[in-house]
Amino acid sequence: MTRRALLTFARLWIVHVQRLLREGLVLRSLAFPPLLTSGTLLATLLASTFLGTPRVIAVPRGYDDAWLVAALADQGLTVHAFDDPAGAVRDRYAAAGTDGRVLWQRLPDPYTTATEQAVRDHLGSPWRIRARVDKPPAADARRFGSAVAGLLAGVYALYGVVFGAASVARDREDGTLDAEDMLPVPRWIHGATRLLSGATVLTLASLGGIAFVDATIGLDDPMPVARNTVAAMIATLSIGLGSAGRAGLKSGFAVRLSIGLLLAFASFLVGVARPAWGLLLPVASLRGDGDGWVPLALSAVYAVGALLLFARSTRT
Amino acid sequence: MSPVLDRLRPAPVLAIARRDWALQLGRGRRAWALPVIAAVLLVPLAAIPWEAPSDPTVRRLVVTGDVPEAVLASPHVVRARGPRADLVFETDPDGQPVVVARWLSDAVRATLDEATPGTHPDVVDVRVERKVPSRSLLVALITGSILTGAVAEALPGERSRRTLETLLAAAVTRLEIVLGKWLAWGGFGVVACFAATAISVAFGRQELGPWALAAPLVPLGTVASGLYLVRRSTDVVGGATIAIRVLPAALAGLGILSWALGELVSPWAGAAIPIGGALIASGDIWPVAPTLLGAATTAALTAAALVATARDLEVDGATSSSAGRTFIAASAAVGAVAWWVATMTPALWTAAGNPHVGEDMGPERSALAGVFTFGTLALVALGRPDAAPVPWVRSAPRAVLAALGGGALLAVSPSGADVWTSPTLGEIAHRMASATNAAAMSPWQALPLLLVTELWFRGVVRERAGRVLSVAVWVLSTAPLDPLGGLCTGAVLLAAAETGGLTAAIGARLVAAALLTLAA
Repeated sequence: MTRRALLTFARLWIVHVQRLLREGLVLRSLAFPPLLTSGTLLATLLASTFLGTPRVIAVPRGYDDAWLVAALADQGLTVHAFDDPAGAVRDRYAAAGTDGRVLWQRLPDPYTTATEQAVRDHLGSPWRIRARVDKPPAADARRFGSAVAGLLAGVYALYGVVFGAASVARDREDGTLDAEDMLPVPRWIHGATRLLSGATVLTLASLGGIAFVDATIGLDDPMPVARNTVAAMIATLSIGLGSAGRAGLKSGFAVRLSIGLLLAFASFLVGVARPAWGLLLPVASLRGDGDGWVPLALSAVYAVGALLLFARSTRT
Repeated sequence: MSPVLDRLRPAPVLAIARRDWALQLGRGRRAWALPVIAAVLLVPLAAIPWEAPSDPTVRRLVVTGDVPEAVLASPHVVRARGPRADLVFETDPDGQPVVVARWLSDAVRATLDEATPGTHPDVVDVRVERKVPSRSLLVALITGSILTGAVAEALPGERSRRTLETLLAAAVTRLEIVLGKWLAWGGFGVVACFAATAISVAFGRQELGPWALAAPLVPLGTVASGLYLVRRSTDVVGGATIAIRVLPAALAGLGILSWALGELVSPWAGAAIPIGGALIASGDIWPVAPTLLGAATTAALTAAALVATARDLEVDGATSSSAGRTFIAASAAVGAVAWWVATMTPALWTAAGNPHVGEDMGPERSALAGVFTFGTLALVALGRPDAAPVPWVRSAPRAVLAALGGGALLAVSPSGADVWTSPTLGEIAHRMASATNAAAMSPWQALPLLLVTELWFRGVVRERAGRVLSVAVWVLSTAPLDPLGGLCTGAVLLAAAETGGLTAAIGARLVAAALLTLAA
C-alpha cells in the first residue's frame, strides 16, 4: 500500500470512529448492555442483603424438643412452628421441615442436609451426615462470570451486524460512498475503514463490559474472553458489511439486516450445539472456554471475505 | 370518540401491508430470503424429536474417601479423580460412617440406609412437579425475534424515504398506517408460528391445546411493541439499534418475570404479564384459564401499543438534542452509576451471604472498570464538535508546586468513612475510598486510572459544567458515603488543576500516594 493510501486509511478510520461516537443513539446503545447487566446484579445483591428471607426450618406446632432445636440453631437455622410443616416447605415458607422423625424437603440443598444432620444425630442413626453449608467458592462465581461475559459479548456481536450493514447502506444513500470512491485509493479501503472503526468502537465498549463483569463477579482469566470478544466483533462486522450488498436504507435493507442478524445468531447457536466447533469459530467461541487465538485468526478470514463482497457490491 | 380511532378502513390497511411486503421482500429470489431463513430455524425446531429433560435431582455425583461398594455401584456415582468431590466418605472415631456433603441424592441415601440397618429418618419429597415448557415456547420466541429487522424498517423507513408525509397527505390515517405495518409483519410472524405449530403437531412432537391460542400473540405483541419503540426514529439505523437493544431484553425479561410469578405466586399472576404471559403460556405449562388470560393481556397491550404509536406518529420524528449540558449531565450520571457498581459490588457479596466471591476483589479490578468508564466518557466528550481544549499544563513551575502542595494536603485530608455503624456501609465507604487511592494499587494500574479520572473530572466536567459542579460530580461519583472526605479531595485537586493544569492534579495524587506509602 502506498504512503498516500496509508494516510487516507488512517484519516478515514478516525473520521468514521468520530462519526460513530458523535451519535447519541450509538452511545446509548453501547452503554445499555453492561449497565443493565451490572445494575441487575447490583439490585439482586441489594435485595439479598437487605430483603433476604431468614433460613427457616418448619416444625409442627407444639414441637418442644430442645435438643433438636438447639442443634438446628448451631447450623445457623431458625425454627418456626407451622400447622402444616410439609405445606410450609412445599409453599416455600421454610427451606425444610421435620418433626424429629420425618424430614420434608423440596429439593436437596445445604439447609435440608443440615436438618438431616441434626435429625440423624438425634435419632442415633447408624450413619451420619455432615452438612457443608459453606457458600460456593469464588471459582464457581468466576465460571458464572465467564458465561455472563460471553453473553454480553454476544449482544455486542449483534450490534456489529447492524453497524457493518448500516454503515454501508446509510453512506450509499447519502452519497458518502460515491464521494469516497473518488479518492485515489483501492475500493476495499473504504470497507476496511468502516470495519476497523466499528471494531474499534465495539471492542472498546465490549471490553469495558468485560471489565465490569470482572469487577462485579470475577473472571478466571479475562484475556481469553477478550480475544474471543474481539474475534466476534470482527466476524459480525464482516457479516454485516458483507450482507449489506447493494441495499440502501430505503430499499431492501431490512431483509439484508435480518439475514445478517440470523447468520450471527446461528453462529452463536453453533457454539451451544457443538462446543468443540465453538472453540474454533468466531462468535461460537463466546460460549466456550477456548483461548481465542484461532477464532481471532479466523475472524480475519471473515474480514477478507467481507471486503471482497464490499468491493464487488460498490463497483459501479 | 378519540381522534385516533375516528376512521378505520380495511382497504388502506391491507394496501399498506401489501406495500410493505413488496418493498422489503421484493420480487424474484429476494422475496424468499426471509421466509427461507425462518423455515431453516423453525422446521427443525418443530419436527426433530427432543430428549426428555432429566430429573434435576438426578445428576452425576463425584465421591471420594472410604466409599462403600454399594454406593459406587449406584447410578450416576463416579469416584473423584482430583481433589473436588460432591461427597466425602469418612469414618468417625466411633467407627461410624460419615458423609460430608452439601446435598445427598435419594439413591445414595437409600443405599446407605439399606447397608446400615438401624433407625433412619423418613425423607419425604414435597416438591411440586413442574411441567417443562414445550418446544412451542421456543417457536413463539423465535417468530417474535426474527422480525427485528422488519420492525426497524417499518416506520423509520417511511420517514427517511419521506413517504410518510405522502401517505398522510393522501388521507390515510395514522392508525391505518400503523395497523398496516403491524398486519404485514405481525401477520408474517403469525403465519410462521402456525406453520411451525402444524408441523410439530403433524409429526406428533406436541399435542394441540390452548397454548396454540397464546403462541401467535407473541409475534403480534412483539411487533406492536417494536413499532411503539421506533415510532420516533428518523432512519432505519436508529430503528434497528433501538429494536435490538430493547426488544430481546424486554421479551426475555417479561418471560422470566411471568415464569417466576407463575411459579412463586400463581399461574394467574404470571399470565397477567403482557407478552411474557403469552410466551410462557405458549409453552403449554399452565391450565386453560391462565393461558387465555395470558393471551388476553397480550392482546390488550398490543392494542394499546398500536393506538399509542398512531397517536405519537409525526412526520419528522424526534429532533435530536445535543445540548452540552444535557450531554454532560447524562454522562456524569452514567459515570457515577458505573463507578458505584464497580466499587460497591464486592462488598455486597459478603453482606448477601457469600464472602468468598468478594474477598479477592481488590481495588485493581474496579480500577480497570473505571479506566474504561471515565476514559470512554472523556474520549466521547473530547470528540464532540463543541469540545473545548483541556489544559494539561498551565505553567511548569506552578504545576510542580501545585503537585507537591496538593499531594501533601491530600495525604492529611480527613475521611468520614468510619462514621457508618453498619458494617456493610462502612466497608463500601472504605472500598470506594481505596478505589481512587493510588497507594492501594500497583503503579501500572494506578496511572491509567489517575489519568482518565483527572481528564474526566478536572478536565471535561470542569470545562463544561464549571468548578462547583465538577467538585459535586466528583463527590457524588467517588465518595457518596463520605461527602466530607470527597469534598476535601475534590477541592484540593480542583485547586491543583486550576493552578498548574491536569498534570499538577495527577502529580498531587501521586505525591499523596507516595507519602501515604512511606507513612504506612
